[in-house]
Amino acid sequence: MKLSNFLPVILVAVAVATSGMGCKKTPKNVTNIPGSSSPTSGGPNNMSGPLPGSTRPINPGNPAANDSGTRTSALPPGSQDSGNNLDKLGTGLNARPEDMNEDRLTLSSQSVYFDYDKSTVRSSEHAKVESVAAFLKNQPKAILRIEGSCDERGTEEYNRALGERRALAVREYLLTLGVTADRVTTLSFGEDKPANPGHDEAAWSQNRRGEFVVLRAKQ
Amino acid sequence: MKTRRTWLKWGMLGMLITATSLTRAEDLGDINATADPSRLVPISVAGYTGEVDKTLRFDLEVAGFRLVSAETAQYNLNGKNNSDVEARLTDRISKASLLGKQYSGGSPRTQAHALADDVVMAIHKTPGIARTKIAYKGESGAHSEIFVADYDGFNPVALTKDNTICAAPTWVPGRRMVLYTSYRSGYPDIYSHDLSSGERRAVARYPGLNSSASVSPDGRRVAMILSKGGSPDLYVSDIDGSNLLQLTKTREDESSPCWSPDGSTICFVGRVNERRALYTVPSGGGTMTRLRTDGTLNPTEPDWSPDGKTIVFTSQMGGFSICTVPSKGGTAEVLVAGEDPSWAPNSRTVIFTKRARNKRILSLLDVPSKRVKDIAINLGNCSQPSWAK
Repeated sequence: MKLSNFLPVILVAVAVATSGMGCKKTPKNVTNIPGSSSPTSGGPNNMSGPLPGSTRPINPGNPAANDSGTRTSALPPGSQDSGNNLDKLGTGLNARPEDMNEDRLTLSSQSVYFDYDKSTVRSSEHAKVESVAAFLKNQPKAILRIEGSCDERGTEEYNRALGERRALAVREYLLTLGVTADRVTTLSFGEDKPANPGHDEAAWSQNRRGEFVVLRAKQ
Repeated sequence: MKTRRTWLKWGMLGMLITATSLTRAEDLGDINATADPSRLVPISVAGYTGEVDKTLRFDLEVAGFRLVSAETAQYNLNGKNNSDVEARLTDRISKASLLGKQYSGGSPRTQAHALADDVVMAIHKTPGIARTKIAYKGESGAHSEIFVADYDGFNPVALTKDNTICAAPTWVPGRRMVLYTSYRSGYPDIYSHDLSSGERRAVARYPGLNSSASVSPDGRRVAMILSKGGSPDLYVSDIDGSNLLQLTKTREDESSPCWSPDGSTICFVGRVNERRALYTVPSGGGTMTRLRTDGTLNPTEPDWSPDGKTIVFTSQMGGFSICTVPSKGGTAEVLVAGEDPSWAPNSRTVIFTKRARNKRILSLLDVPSKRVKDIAINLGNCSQPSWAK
């Protein structure tokens, strides 16, 4: 495929090597490898291997500089990152994450736990979600983020989707309790943010969870 | 000694070790217990030293060769690397000379890689993979970043320095570009990252989940999982994020899309009636069809081979196993313990994650022989490898 540039070199080399005078002591075919010790030789026709070739430098760039926390970086054509159309929190309030203070403590005891590989809110967890709904009614300016997580017994991207499904299940239950959709946002950590780093059911049951974070606009 | 070591190393698989593999263990070096050595081509390598020798042997073992003595080999590779690498490859039986070459420039490693690829071309008649690249998720303190390295793990370069979770890297076929998920906004968003210019652009950052990007073989479209519609569903867009099209609309969570090589079909993980399964859907939209993976449970993380014939995936049956199934579906084959497989461009080798307690490493699997070679250098905890194609 991408080796096609290089293939003729190989084929010629093999053909020459195998045709007649193949038994000389010194191989006549020299393949030049572009790279650091021969900086001038790495013309495009010598590029070998798919894609990066092992000899071209990888430029990590400085993404932090061109995308510096303000969420005003390059966006797909057709969209503008002026803030209004980029409602990352999905709240309809044009709230940008960096404009909000996070309160992880107030609702920390209300975390919702899930059964293995399930995203249904168990009846045992309903009272916690109901108390969160009551809290939101008393705090009309607060926005809620639900962070969904999984235990490690799933593959990574599967868990990232399952964690989101869990957060959304809690959100759906809150909406049935009268919380408006524009006040609840979701975030999945998959298995990347375990509450307990252990490798047994005691740890796993603590990691299959939805946590509540209260977001308030910075003053 | 080696037999005992094999037993220790592969204790959990001990029951699978056959009498044949035990008696032949002396010849087989570190070949894993489940491997089928009859699918490996015996070759001898002589005359090389140091890094060239090590690199060459690693490359050839990954490429489906078995290193044996000159007398028992089918092919003899002789040469030297006093300065540049020189090589002569002969068929031991017919005495035919298959390769006579000298390499210049580059480094000892790249010369060895180039020779390994020439040997593969001369014997397997397919392009080698020794000079390909991988991307992966690497642990960095409490965070994870995206790295790019040679296929054997050497020369790792951190692509991101986001100090947050970065995950799910995937290559744009035919380009020096990687897409991945970064939580740098506080939420999982998909970015594209040009390896030449270092420029990064947002591809998808809708409310909720944006992850699991996979780029079409022509490099123009992206399949991904977004939850902006209320549930994690499968979408496709142009590579810049425009022209978004929703392909699935279920209450359950979809994950891990991959493309057929002709770009017509996307295979992904779905869940119906609480059961995980692989599904396919036309990439332009259409009906979800279940892809049978008989003999395995809980399939996730499919990857479609570049030759179109085989889908490799992870099955969860107690632990994780790397499995293959014909791309039309059917009876699956369980290969080795591991997860998150990604095909090499040769449609023969797979890179995957091997998970031990508190440790994840990258490993290379020769699918026909089931031989496993761990990446030879310590990259720390890493996972989610993606092979550049």
